[in-house]
Amino acid sequence: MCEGAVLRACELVKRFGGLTAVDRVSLAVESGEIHALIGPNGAGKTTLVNLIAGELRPDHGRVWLSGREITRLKVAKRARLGLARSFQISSLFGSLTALEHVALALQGRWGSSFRFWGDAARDEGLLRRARAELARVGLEDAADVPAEALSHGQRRQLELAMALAMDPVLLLLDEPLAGIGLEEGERMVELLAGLRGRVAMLLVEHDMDAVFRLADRITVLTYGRVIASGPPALIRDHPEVVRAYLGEGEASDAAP
Amino acid sequence: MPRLAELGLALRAGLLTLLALALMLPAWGDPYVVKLATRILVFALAAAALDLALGVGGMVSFGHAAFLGLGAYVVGINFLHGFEGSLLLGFAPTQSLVLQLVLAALLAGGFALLTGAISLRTRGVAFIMITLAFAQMLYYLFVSLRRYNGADGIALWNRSDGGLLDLEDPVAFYFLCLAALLLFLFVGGRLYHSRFGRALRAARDNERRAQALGIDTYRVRLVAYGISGAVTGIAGVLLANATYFVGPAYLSWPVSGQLLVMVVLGGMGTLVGPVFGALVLLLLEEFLPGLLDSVRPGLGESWKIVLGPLLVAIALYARGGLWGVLARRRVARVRWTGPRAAKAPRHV
Amino acid sequence: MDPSLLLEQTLNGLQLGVMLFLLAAGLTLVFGIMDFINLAHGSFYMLGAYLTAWLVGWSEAFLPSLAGALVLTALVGLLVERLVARRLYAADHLYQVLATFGLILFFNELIRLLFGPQPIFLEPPAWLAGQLEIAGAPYPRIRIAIVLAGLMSGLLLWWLIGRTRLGMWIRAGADDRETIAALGVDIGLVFALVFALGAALAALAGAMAGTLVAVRIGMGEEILILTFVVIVIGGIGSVRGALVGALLVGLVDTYGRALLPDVLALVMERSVADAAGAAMASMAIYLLMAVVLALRPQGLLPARG
Repeated sequence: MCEGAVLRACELVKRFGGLTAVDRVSLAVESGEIHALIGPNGAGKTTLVNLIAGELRPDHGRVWLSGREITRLKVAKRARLGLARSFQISSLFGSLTALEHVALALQGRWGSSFRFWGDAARDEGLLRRARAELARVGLEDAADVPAEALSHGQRRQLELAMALAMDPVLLLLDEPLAGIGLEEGERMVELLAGLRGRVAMLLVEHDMDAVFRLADRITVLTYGRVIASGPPALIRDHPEVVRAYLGEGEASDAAP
Repeated sequence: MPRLAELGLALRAGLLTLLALALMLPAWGDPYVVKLATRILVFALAAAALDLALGVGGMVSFGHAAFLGLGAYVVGINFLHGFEGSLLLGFAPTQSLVLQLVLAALLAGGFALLTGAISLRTRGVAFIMITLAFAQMLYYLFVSLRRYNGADGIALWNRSDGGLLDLEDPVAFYFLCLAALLLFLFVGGRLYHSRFGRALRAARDNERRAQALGIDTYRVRLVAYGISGAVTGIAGVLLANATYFVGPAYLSWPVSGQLLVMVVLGGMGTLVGPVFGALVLLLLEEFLPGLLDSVRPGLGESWKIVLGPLLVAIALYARGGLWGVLARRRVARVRWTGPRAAKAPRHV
Repeated sequence: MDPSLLLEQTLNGLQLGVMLFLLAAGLTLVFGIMDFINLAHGSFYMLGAYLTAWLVGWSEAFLPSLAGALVLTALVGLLVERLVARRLYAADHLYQVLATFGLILFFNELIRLLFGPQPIFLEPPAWLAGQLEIAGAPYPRIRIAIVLAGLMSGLLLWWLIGRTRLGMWIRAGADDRETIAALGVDIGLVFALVFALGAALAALAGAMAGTLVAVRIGMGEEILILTFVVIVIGGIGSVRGALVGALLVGLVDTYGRALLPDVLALVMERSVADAAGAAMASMAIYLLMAVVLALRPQGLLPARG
């Protein structure tokens, strides 16, 4: 029952010392759908994302990507299989330009990092493709700006451009809206909505408006366990969710 | 390594002048100067090779003397067998410079890949200590090899056979070393700006991110470490020929430290900076003792009592090295602590 | 194999092991807590030997001289911490390497200027001269004293770290620098004390070594690299790991040198076995390190996780 779909995680368990951060979590992301993962702080969302991305090894359970088991594969190998992620805190290479970032993502995805001679900065094939990817997120005008000079929202867009450049089968988005302004947040939501149906996404997000606008399906995590999973309408009225999360969530969001 | 076109006019003119000086130096006709300059070129090559691992790749190797020594022993061991007329592992020994260079690159590069495969599984201070330990292992191995004169080393009666090039001619040998250095700076520059170089720098600057982009940072580093070791081995072949001597001292830890000082002093991550580091350090080594003796006779012997605090001062106040001063550029950071970095990714 | 020879080699291995432990304990704490690589730790070892020899020559009383040397070296350690190390805790490891490499050069030349280039000798006190019978075999008293003193220092350290307030701070500092700062402890003071403690332990090891072999310039660096191997095998930052690593390295090195030529002679010619045995023995601990790292990159008993 654990195979099929774009991403399938089955019975994942991760313990840190005495604490069970992720406790027998199973979830699936179907082709083309946006699957949101929500839960209060400390619910194990980030641990789950790291288990799927390969930064942590589960103590128990398995992960499949497009029907291939990836439980024991390294981060880089998973990425080359089409698992692209963005980071909660923008994680970029300060001095590289936006264009160079996307070019790096392309060469990573293509596995062409062992070319020793040609000048990557004058590689027209690479550059043309990288410019196209930047244009997809509306960053074409910032192509030659070093990442450290981009605005916070632009960095988020760049993260998305890098992930999309990897031609992913699954996008793993860890709080893509965290810390950006209303206007830039709105643009990001539209970008993500525009990708619906074309690429499967696992979206971890605190902004409930965005989650309910974007998600085809929502999984709720508290204390490392899945307490509910289903379409937004179902989750919104789910009594346990309201009690465990949404009610408290408002309060804890107000005073983080 | 910066692109030539990005440098200021004054710096470009300075580099060209220096190159012209290097080309005209033998015309001066002073054999002492040619000998010193040759030594500087050889160490510059080794330091630039180390910089590929250290500055560009962020791998703080404290064991590069091992690769230098392996290259030198390729010359020494072949010489000894040739001198005795004995076989080397069943093969006729070779005095051909080209073959020795190939052998040295394979041997030193192979040793780098082997030890790198183990030491690159760790990071931070552990990596530094392990590279040092592996070099020390080789040092003790050669000290204990009585077949090759142990701690006494091998004195060479003549240089390798350069084919058309007569290496016994100090000027010809000088130009060979200059050509080797320039060739590596060119090749290293191509490497730096290639996709491989980009992946290597990405692994240095933000390993976690690079991996998430599909870059196998372990393999990228390992290959860079192997290349760096191979080129340092080539410098070892030249060093043996320059000094007519090979001994375990070439593999000793102070030599690793010296190479490291050259890289930092010159400006790491630039490949060309370490050339200046080698120049300045070896000139200091050559002339500081005399200078101190003129202050107080006998003090020259203890010139390192000045060098030591100078290194402390560089570490504290002049981290960009000479290149940093000349090009007014920040140098690459090489903190590579893995787990801790993963916990707190660098914000941009 | 002759059992008395085996016993003797075991004691020799233990003796090297406890000396390595004294060096490794301080160094691994400095790595673990301050994330600082101190190449000049071997200089403290050398200083301890020279200062003890100098004070003994002057006062002819061994134990007070030893105590004086430990205090003086600890003060030098404090000075190094204040002037150099403290400014580099947050810097790249590379600059720590560069600065402490510079310190090695400085201390070596300083000793050369003060004591001359020739090795000097440190006579063990009369009450430790001569041999002691152990299981029918004679064994030098001084070596036994070294093993005992080393083990006692180890116990003292265990008490200090496990049972005292300073030890609690040290443990907290090794886990998390912010925690200890939040406790209202002057973290700078803890760092300085750890550094000075490490210097004193290294000086003790140096003085011990000085009673066995000549006291000379450069003695610190050879043993420093062995100490690195100990720390890497044991796991960085772990004092227990340092103990296990030190004993392992001490025994493997000693057994290797004593036994490998004989063992190899069973399968090959004597002259070849002697040469190969010597070569292999000199590499044995590094190969041990390689094996440990290949299986457990974090060391045998890592401090965290």
